[in-house]
Amino acid sequence: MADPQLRSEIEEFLYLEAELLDDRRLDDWLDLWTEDCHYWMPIRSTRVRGDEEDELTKEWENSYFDDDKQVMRQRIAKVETRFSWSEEPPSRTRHLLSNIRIRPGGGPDELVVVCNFIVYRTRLSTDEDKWVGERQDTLRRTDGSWKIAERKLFLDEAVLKSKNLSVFL
Amino acid sequence: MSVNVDELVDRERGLVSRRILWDEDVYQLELDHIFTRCWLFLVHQSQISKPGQYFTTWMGDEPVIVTRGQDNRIYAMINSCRHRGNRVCRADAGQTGSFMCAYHGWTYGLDGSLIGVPGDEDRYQGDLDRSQWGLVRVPRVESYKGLVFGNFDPTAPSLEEYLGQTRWALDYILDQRDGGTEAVGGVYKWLINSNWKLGADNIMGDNYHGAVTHRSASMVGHMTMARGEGNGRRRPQPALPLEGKLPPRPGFTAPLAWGHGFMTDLQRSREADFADYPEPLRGYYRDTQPELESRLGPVAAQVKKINLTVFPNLCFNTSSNTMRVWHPRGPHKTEVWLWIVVDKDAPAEVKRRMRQVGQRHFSPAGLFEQDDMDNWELSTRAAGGRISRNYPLHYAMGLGHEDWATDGVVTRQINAIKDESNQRAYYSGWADFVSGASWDELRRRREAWEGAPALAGATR
Repeated sequence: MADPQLRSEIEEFLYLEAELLDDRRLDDWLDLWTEDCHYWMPIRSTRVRGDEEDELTKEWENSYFDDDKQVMRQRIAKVETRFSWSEEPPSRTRHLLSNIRIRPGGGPDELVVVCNFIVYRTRLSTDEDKWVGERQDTLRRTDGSWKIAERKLFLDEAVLKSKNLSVFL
Repeated sequence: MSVNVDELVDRERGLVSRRILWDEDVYQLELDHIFTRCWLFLVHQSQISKPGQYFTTWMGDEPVIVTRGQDNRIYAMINSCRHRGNRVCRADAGQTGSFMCAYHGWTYGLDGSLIGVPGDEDRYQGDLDRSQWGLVRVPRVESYKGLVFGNFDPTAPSLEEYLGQTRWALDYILDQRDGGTEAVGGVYKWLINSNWKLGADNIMGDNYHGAVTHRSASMVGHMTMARGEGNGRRRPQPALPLEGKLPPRPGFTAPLAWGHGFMTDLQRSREADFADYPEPLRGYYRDTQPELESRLGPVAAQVKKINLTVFPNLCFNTSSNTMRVWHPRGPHKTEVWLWIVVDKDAPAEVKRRMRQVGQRHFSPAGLFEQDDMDNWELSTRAAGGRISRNYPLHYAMGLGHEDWATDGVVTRQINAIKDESNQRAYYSGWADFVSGASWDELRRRREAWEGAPALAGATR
């Protein structure tokens, strides 16, 4: 079990990160990521029991997101042009995190933080979407503060019920 | 049903009624006359490359299983048990020897034949003729260069005849190299609240919307971003001007019969046009150029990009290596399925770059894709208005001003990419099918539009 003080520190970090996203402070949000970060969300398909290995696409296969920091920066810049119609007027989001588990990472300054997430989005008058799944974040302590080095998002649904993915999960 | 198709598509004036995006009775006609008669894309052969592999999909409102049998042949059948109708396969893909219905256990082979009935002797006492109770087979399954299609109409023309002159574009997509193509693992699937036709008409011919719909992506240097280079622009740059005379854009438009059509950008020089691609893509395109030219001819070798719609719902965009199907889910809902297709013999790193180009442009999170969806959803929703439904949509750009080519690669070709001729061809073909025209009548109309049956690649 993670040390309560570490747990509280990590939880504070994750809640701050979610707040920046929901408040649309995307530049500040991006500052929480390492320069060599990776943001990845594979595709799930429905498979029979025993075939679980093929349920999620592999790293070399198709994915919804396969972004480095440069691509993430472009996504933010795109929204800021005000011609990004999928975000104009902007989506309203709410990131809910739970079931937080803290595990050792690959190095002394790294942790793997697993949680469940629901991201709720509403847009225009009545559009509603929700994305539900598991998140695996690799956090790295750099110069005394935590940064996100990697985020893997595993959606539960096999067919997206949302028209697009124009926000960060 | 009281649908007068002639009132829905006005070919002379280039007008299309909004009812075709909204009305349930029009949608039922589409299921009756399009999705049970046209060749519909099922699967890329590479997705079911081994005996026993299967893939489940849709043909209109019918769930379909596509399999590779132990005999290595490809079969397609309706995913519904003949006993009570339950689905016999509930997975998206996998490998199996048979499909057992989870209701009473009727079991079917990879070719759809009924091979198991629990308690057969005791309960049916020899009355059940299994040969008559296999899964309903899709009677026609044919392939074109790796793409497998199915057709419910036994009287339909062959797949090759149906594809007609789209084959020039399909060859460019599928046959540049000796090994052909393969689908990258994973099919993107998502639901949009749009009529299924809006995306199909957009991809084949809408060269107008990019400067506005995709303005933000252009401003932030999406091309360099999508290709994985580190020089994407942080500070947005001005996008293309919206007014004034268009800069010359070499290429042509092919508004074909039966609702097919494609538009092709040709390059001034392949070297220059692919200069902004990073290695190893740039080198790959350069190195494979001689092979492409020797296989497909000099015009294909100048192609920079092709946008193609194979009627009714299969679309391609070559600059992103994407292929997609618009599965109708009623008149107001569409399930989009998207594949990324790459040269089978390309090196792994080239395939990886091609995948990134594809998914960063056109997938639910793609910088281009994101901004199309609201447009089509809101166009669909407005089509239900009691008043607005009486105001047709304007598809008349360039009507009557076409600069028809006399020596093109297809017999119906315009020397420009700046009008809505392809969309008009799409809805003209749509009207022909929905009106219930016979195949003989459809062939007559095609000949009247395209000229004598010509094979693709006339100038090779």
